[in-house]
Amino acid sequence: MNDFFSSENLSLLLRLFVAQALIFFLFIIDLVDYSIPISYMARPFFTVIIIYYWAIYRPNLLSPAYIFALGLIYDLILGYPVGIHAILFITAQWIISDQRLYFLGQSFLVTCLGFSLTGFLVLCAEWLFFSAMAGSFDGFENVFYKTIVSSFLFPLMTLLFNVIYRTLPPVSQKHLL
Amino acid sequence: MKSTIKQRSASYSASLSILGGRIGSSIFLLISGFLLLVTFISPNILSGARVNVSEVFAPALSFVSRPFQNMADAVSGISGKAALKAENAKLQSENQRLREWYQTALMLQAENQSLQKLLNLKVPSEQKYVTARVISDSSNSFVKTLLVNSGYDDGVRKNQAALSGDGMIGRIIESGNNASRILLLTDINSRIPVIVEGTNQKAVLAGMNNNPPELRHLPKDSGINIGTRIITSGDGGVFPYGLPIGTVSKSEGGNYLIKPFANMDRITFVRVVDASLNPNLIKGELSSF
Repeated sequence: MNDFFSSENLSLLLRLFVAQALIFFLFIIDLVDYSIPISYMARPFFTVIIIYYWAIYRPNLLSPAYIFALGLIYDLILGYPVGIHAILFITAQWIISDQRLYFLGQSFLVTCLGFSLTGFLVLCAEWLFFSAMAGSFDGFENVFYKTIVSSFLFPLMTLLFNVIYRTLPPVSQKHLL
Repeated sequence: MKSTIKQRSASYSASLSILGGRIGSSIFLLISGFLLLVTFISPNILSGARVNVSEVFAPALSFVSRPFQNMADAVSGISGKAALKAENAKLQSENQRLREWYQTALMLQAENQSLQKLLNLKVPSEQKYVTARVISDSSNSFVKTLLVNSGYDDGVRKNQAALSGDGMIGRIIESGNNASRILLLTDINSRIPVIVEGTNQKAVLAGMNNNPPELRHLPKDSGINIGTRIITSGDGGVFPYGLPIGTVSKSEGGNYLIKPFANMDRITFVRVVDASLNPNLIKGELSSF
């Protein structure tokens, strides 16, 4: 009991809390109204940025259950068919986690290009699903706009995440992750 | 020897972790697929969950969306200063005209009231409005809905009409205690009974997602002019009669496209019409969209 409340553990929990709070905050930004005209055409997809970064650098931080919950909340709040974003997010995390060793050995530019491709594929899958549902395959240009905006934001988000990442304990301390 | 055991153990735990991740991902993918299937079979089955989750997240959404709205207000304030002078002159002349119209309206109102009395006409009850702020906007190319920070506790009910300052924007499709969801009239699932002003031609306004909404079920050669106003017909008793929607903007092969009065990309506040409906028209619960 006393060990749990040791200053080392409390500091670790605080650092994990900051990481999770940032993830939650960026996720909420994906849900809010920007109050900017035509923002729906080119708003960044923060949740994909979160999933991509942490799937490469700290997969334990976002478990499949966590990703599932984020996808479910996303669909429930935005009024989408429930489960579609959970499928997209989990699949993206799965694929990136499988390729994380490759990305870890690559330059930052390759990581950024990898993100652009991931974001594009997720948005394409989303567009394909909703277009099939609506029976009209238009608005594909929005996929490009969103990919471009998200890709521009990715390096900035990476800087922020890197600060958090450095404060986190090494992966070996799994009991607290 | 010791290091080999350590390496083996590390490699075993790593593969177990990946396997665990894969198994976990597979399980949650299956659950998500099942939920998606359920949503397709019965779209309303999770509406309770939608309302509850929206309620839980409403304070966080409201908090996070506020800086964006303040920023948008500030930007529009700065960029608008140049146009303020011209707008002021325009408003002054408009105000002059409206004053004349106001006098005419007062005269017509008095005349209308006396005629209604003479005919013993049953006048529809007065409408009340609930003003709410938009906290989440899921309006993308596929789904056009808004989440507002007023709900059942404020008098917002399912199927009530929602207006911006300029005209009708949609209807309430889900109402929780403190948050509600509006289906915009541009959404592909939106159908609103309307009337073409002047001709009294009835039609249904259907949302088209990315394209402007169009009028459906109009007789052939209805001969509607461009610029004609479209208002709610009140048919079915869901919406009150006469809510302004938009004007006919284009005619394409017999299809009339409507330009809504409200700017759907710039909705910050909405007014929900709390109209007391004729109980004879409503029998039981209305099905959702």
